[in-house]
Formats: sequence, C-alpha cells, structure tokens
Amino acid sequence: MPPANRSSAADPQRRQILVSWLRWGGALLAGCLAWPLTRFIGFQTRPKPRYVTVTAPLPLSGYHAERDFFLFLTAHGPRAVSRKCTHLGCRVNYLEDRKIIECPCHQSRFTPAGRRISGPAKRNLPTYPVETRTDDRGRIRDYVVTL
Amino acid sequence: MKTTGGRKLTALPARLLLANRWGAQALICLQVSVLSGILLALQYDVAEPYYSTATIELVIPYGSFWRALHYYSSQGFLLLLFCHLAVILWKNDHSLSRSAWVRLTATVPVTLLLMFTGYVLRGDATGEAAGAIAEQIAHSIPLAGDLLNQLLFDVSASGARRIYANHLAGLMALGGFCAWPHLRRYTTRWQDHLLLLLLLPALSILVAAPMEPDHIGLLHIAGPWFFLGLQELLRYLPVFWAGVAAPAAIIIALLALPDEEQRRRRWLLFICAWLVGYAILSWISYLRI
Repeated sequence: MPPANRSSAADPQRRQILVSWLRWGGALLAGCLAWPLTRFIGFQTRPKPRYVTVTAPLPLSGYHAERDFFLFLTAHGPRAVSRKCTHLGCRVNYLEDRKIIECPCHQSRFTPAGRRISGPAKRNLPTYPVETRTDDRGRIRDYVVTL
Repeated sequence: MKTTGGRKLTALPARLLLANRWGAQALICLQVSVLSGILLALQYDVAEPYYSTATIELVIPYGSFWRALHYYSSQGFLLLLFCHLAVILWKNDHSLSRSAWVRLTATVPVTLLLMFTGYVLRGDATGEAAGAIAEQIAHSIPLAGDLLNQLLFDVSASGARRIYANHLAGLMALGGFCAWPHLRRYTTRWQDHLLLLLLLPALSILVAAPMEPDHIGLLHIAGPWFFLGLQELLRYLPVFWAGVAAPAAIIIALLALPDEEQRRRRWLLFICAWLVGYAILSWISYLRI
C-alpha cells in the first residue's frame, strides 16, 4: 500500500507541474505567434532624400554651418561633413580658431574633412554629396547637399 | 537608546530622518508632477519640441510657471523616492515577497526613464544630445536592442513622437502597474503636506526650469544630474558596458535584495560601492562643466 499512497500524494504535485508547464508553453506559443505583430513597432518608411541649398559665396571663414552638416570649401572643392558624432550621435561643433570639429558630449575631435583625431569616437564623420550649380556666366550660384 | 533594524540610533537628526514620511512626500510630488504634466501636454507640440518648449516658456501665459512646477515636482519625486528607498533599506522592516519587491522596485528604473524622456522632450541642446545617446545605448544591446530602441526612443527616425508617447502613456502605465499594490495600501492627504505644497510653487515662481538652446560653438553638454556619472563612464568604456551593463548591475542588485541576511548584506555592500563609484564619476563629470 505505501506505493499507492506515494502516488496519490504525488498526483496533485504532478498536476501542478503539468499545469505550470502548460501555462508557460501557452505563453511561449502565444509570444511566438504574436511576434510578427512587433513588426508594426519597428517598421520605418524610408525618408525622402533631402536637398539643402546653400547660397554662394560662403562666408570668408570658408565654411557654412547647417543643422545636419558643415559645408567647407577645400582645395578639392566643396565638402559637406555630417554633424552627427560617430560615438553617440551628439551634434558636433566647428571650432574655427583651432580648425577642428569637436563633440560637446565627450569631446571627440575631427578634422574639417571629418577624419577622427581623438576621443571616444572610433570612426570618421560621414560626408554627403555636394552638387555645385552655376549661373549663366559660370559663377557658382549655390551648393546643393543631398542628405 | 532606540534601535531600528538592529542598529543603534542616538542622534536626533538621524531619528528625524528615519521618521520623516519620505514616501508620502514623494507621492505628493508625483501627483503635482502628473497634474502639471497634463496641463503642459495641452500646449506641447511633438512636431516642434524645442519651439514648443520655448513657446511655453516665453509666450504662453504662466507657461514658465507650469513648466517649472512640472520640472521641480518631478525632481522632488525622484529625490524623495531615493530617500524613501534608502530609509526602507536602512530600517530593513519591509515584509514583501520577492515578486512583490521586484514589481515595486521596478518603479525606480521606470521613474528614471520618465525623467530622462522628460529631458529629451525639452528639445534643447541637452535634450537632443540625451535622445541621441539613449538611442545609441539601446542599439548596443545584443538581439533586443533595435526593438527596444524602436519601442522607447527611435529619435533619429521618429523625432520626439515615441518618446512623447512613452513619457505620457507607456511609462506612466508601467509605473502605475508596478506601484499599484503599494499605492493601494499607502495613501496620503494633501493637507498633511502643506509646506511641500507651498514650497513647490514658490520654487517654480522664483527659479525658472532650465533650458539650453543649441548654438554654434557649444563646447560642453552636461546630461541630467542623475546621468552625469553615466556620461563620464561612456568616455572610457564601450557603449554597452557603460550604458547598459553598469546601470543594470545596480538595478539587479536592488531587485535581488530580498534574500537571506548574509547575501542581502553582500548585495547592499555592492549597491553602496556602486553608488560611491557613481558619485565619484558624477563629480568628475560635473568638474568638466
């Protein structure tokens, strides 16, 4: 008779474990089935390309600051450098007197060409394509930066 | 000689500190914060965060007052919540099961996220940088990082929209869920906290809430005071370790506290060491300002 007693005592416990497993299994299954719905959260419509026009001539300092980029005039032509720091995405600033770009959050530094000099950022600043538009006499009228 | 939780307390200031009703005061601050937040939301425009904040501050009648009241009551809530938690841990007289404790103390990270999203919604230089950093930190989490970012921040693609939705509804609902059993048990009355209720509007009239416009040549941006240590740590460590693992460590220690006495002491020791380290980092970061 002792084995029968043990079995009857173990039954509710076994049932409890089974119910618990069933619940967790059900929750997991529901989670798996519902997972595709999370695509709603993450779906992003690709933003339209933005064209920012900067009127020529640039200031005597040789650069123009926009919200998203700096436009520098170099010996190789105009160069648009992103203002988004490659460390954590803060908006960088150009220190005209020292000719460097510096991030106000962790002081990563870059050259005006966007090349990393120092600081926690590991990558160079990206650049954007710049198109130069001229007037009838061939003089530069404005610069169009594609973001 | 009175003893509390096995500790002898002789000094009157210490006894007063322990007897103060930190939790009730925190709740009052939260109520003021929620009410002033609802009023601010009536004028806030998520499409133009900074313009909207500046308009509330400078143009809309009494906007500066309501904004300051929201800011100071929220700050008060966070500080009093920390004091409340510290006193509870010191007294060691709570009798919550682990699951109830986990649910209740989850209000701490939720509150920090609420405060953080509030900073981002300002849309000024600090808020903008805070949003960008939060996004990068979320991205650094393996596997779930992208989804978490899309759920909480996604500043670069959605602007302030998701942050606003979370600040106003998502995090509030989560915080309410975590604190509900506690709030149902402990209530408070406004007439018992008249001094606090006078202090908050007085402070809001006298000192405007901070706002830092973005401008060319801005050399230094300091994060919210409670994230200064994290900002400093991000200088030295990879984003995941500084932005996720380090803050998660203290949260896990806090959640793990209901344990047998010796292990509880170890967790407490770890929390204290963490806090000392964080205070030092915050101080270094503050010196950079």
